[in-house]
Amino acid sequence: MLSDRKASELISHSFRRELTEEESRAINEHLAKDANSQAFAKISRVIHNSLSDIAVMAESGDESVAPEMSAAAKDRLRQSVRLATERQRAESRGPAKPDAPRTNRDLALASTLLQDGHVTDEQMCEAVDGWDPNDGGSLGEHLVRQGVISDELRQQLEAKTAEGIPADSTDDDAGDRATAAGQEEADSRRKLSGSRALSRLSTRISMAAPDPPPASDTRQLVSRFTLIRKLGEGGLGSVWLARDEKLKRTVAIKEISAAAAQSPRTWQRFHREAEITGHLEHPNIVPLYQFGTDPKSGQPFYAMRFVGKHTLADAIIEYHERRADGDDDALQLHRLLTAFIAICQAVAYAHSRGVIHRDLKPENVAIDNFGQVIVLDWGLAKLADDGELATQLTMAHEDDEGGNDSVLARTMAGEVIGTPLYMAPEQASGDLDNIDEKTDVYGLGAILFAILTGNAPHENSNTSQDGNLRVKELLIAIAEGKTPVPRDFNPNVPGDLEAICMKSMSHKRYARHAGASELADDVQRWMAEKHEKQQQYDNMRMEGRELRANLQSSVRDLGTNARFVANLPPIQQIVDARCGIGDDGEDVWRERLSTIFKGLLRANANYSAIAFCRVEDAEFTEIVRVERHSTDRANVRSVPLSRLATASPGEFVQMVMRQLPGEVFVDLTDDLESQRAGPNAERCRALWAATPIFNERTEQPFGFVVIECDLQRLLEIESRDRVRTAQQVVVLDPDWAVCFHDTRGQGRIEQSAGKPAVDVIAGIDKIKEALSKQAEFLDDTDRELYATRLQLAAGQSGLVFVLIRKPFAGSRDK
Amino acid sequence: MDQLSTAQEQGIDPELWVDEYGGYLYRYAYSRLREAYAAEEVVQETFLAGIRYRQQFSGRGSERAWLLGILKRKIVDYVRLRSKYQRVGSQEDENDPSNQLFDEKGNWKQAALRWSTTADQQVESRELWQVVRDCLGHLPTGQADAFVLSVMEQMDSEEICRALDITPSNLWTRLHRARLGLAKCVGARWFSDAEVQEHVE
Repeated sequence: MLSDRKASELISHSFRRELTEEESRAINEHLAKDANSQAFAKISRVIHNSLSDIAVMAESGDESVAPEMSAAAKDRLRQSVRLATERQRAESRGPAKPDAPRTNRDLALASTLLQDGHVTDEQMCEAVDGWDPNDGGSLGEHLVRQGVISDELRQQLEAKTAEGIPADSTDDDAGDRATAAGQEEADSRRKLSGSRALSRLSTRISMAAPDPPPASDTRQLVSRFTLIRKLGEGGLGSVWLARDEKLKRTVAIKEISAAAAQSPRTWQRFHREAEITGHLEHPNIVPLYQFGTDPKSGQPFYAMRFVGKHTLADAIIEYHERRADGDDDALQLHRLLTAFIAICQAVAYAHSRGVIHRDLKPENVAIDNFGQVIVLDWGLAKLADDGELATQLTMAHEDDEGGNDSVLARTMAGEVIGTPLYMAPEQASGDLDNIDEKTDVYGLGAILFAILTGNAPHENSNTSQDGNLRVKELLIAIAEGKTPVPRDFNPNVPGDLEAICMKSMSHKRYARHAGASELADDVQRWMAEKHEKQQQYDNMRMEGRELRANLQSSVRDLGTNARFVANLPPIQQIVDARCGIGDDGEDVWRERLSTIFKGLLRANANYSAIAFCRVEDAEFTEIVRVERHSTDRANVRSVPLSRLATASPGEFVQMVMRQLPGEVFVDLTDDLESQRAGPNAERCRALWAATPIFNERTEQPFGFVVIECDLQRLLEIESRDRVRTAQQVVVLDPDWAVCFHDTRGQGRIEQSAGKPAVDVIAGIDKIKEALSKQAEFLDDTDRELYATRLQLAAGQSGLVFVLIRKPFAGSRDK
Repeated sequence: MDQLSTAQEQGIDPELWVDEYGGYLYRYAYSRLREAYAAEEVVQETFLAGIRYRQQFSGRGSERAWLLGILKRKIVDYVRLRSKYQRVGSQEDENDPSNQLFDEKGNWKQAALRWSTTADQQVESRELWQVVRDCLGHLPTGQADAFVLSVMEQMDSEEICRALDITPSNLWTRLHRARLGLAKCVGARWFSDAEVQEHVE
């Protein structure tokens, strides 16, 4: 009994072979009772017949069997046929390359070996380097000698290859087979186009081939070049990788396309492009080797140096992809900027020859790993005082308005889509009279923009709802819009570099750099100063750290002194006296204590007062107070009993009294001060360090000793003595308000005090964010700011020191 | 020189080939390869080979037939190359429609194939081609190519195996899967088309 699956297999079989009698019977029985199998047999038959019909009709030339070939495909075919006949004619004049099948065999063998993994690319490279096609026998023999492959494998593979490529093809069939095999080999080569070894091998073989006949007429000029593969296609035509048979080197050939050649205007443009490029001789401008006309078709072409396929656009993408992955390599940016300077110089040279490029963008700059930078595509270039060449934009407009449907206009419109992302406003608005060197300066700025951000400047200028750029709207946006800001795309762009970029891309032409060299100079200067700037920044960072360390030690000293005072014998004697114990009266001890206080105050110029206070219930009272006169600093006096203050304890006193003996509490304000001055108290005028006093007999809290230190004076002295590189020192209180602002030139800026930090320091947000997580802020982007925090007591936010490298430019009052 | 003059005497001007035979060869290639760029490529290769070996054209048959001969070989070469790289690209087994059509016991699943009985008579060839061609396009290339070489080029098993570098049993599996896949696809498409047709009438 047949299963359905088995039956279907038999039905399938029946289309290719006779079934046995038994099989036929089984299948007939099955078909009689199974609808699905019946359907399968019927459909298969119908399909079979249908396909056979198509096959026959295609052979007989029926046009309905397949779609028509496109016009573009026909053009391509015509072109390749033309070139092939051309080449063959040229070859038939001179001696044919001997042993062509052998060459093919070598290539075929190599690609098979690589493809099947018998040999690695490196091994093949090495072997090829040591092989001379003329003396060394076949590649296979060479590889066996080198021990890369076994002789057995070679024979096996060569036999296989020889099947396809007869050494001596005489009959029709063999010739075709040879081409078929050659084609296969060429295809594999195309597939293996990344292989270094294969490209080396084909170079070696072509080097070994005998010279083509001497070129003496135009036809042979054309045959001098062998097209290898198409590199790209532009508005005017296509660019091919070609081999210059005469000089045995690779060149790029730009050829006008058959369709574009129908318009005399394109012709003119193509010719002009070649002419302009040919006139520009500069190491960073692609050199033109030859301009010629194909005698057969009469279409022009030109040959230029092959500069590789890697463009600045690729390099920019690579750099920014790495940057996004966290690998921000300063060297990469340096390389890109070096390339940029080379581009500026090439453009400056062109300007000196009266040529405006008008289509500067990263895609038009070829760049290799050895630092060579070549500006390409002068197809839209304009000669100064030459109104004949309309700009890209006018043509696009003609296309829009006139409905001109010519092939040229279409290609022009296509080009516009690629370019306006880097276009200057005067180009976008079609202001042709104003297109000059400054337009190229804008284009260069746009390239710099791309280097800094990884985006084209107008990428965000106008995007329709579906996310596509609409050319017309984009052009309007560029013409009317503002200069794009690099930091909108990449916040890490150094500020001064951004400024250079934005200057060159200024909407107002007069505000741009005067020329490409000036822009190059600016960038070069930035690169040169970068090193020095880093040095300076390092110095400033050291100064900042030193400043903080010194303040820290001053605070520590303050604490030490407070503890010292607390342990003075007169303190406990006064405590005793208050409790009615001891021989001497309180007056005596007060006298002695104030003498010691005076000595301490005289020894520490920054201390402005020392007091010993009694805390009782709801108030605290000064017992002894020695203070310095606020303006006459040498005047240190003891405050008379009648003038001693009494106040209610606030936060400060409560905090102090919460400490254990020997512990010091430091703060930026004390209760007496805040009660005296109220909300108008000068911020960070002083530091107060206090330690509690206990009655040693009862071990009950008695009061405290407090030392007041003039913080402003301390900061002024430290800032003056320690800071050299930074041009400004700003100290912020815990509320991020300015409490001290010192500039090198103008000294202390009094009016800054009390202002919010944002008024004095640009970029304070970055500092706030960084200091919330770590002890210091380093400005890696601009190297302008350094900030660090000084904690006075545990759990407090403390003071923030900000050092600024730039001089104070006046108050940033809003 | 001799070669050139011989060729010219016979009146072969390759530059006219594109207009003369381009369309014909392209359609033939397209009907076999089902992709425009593939067809364009083999036609180009055919012309280039024709130019290279045109002295070998005996002049006995028609030029078109001669070029068609070259084209047929180019198509097989192309298919061979395509199958080679496809195999490198995907190692997994080609799509087997059996699983969708049969249950574990090897019996047809419910309504596995659809075929209107009335369709037998009214199969309109041009419409059918369209359906068959579309369905062919949905098959894995390896299956479709084997099927095309077998049915359209009428190559025998040995030739196909050599061209695609596969074993006879592999070829047999491919052909069977292609048939099943096509039957499923064409059946479904045709059935729904016929239904619509009936409904309209």
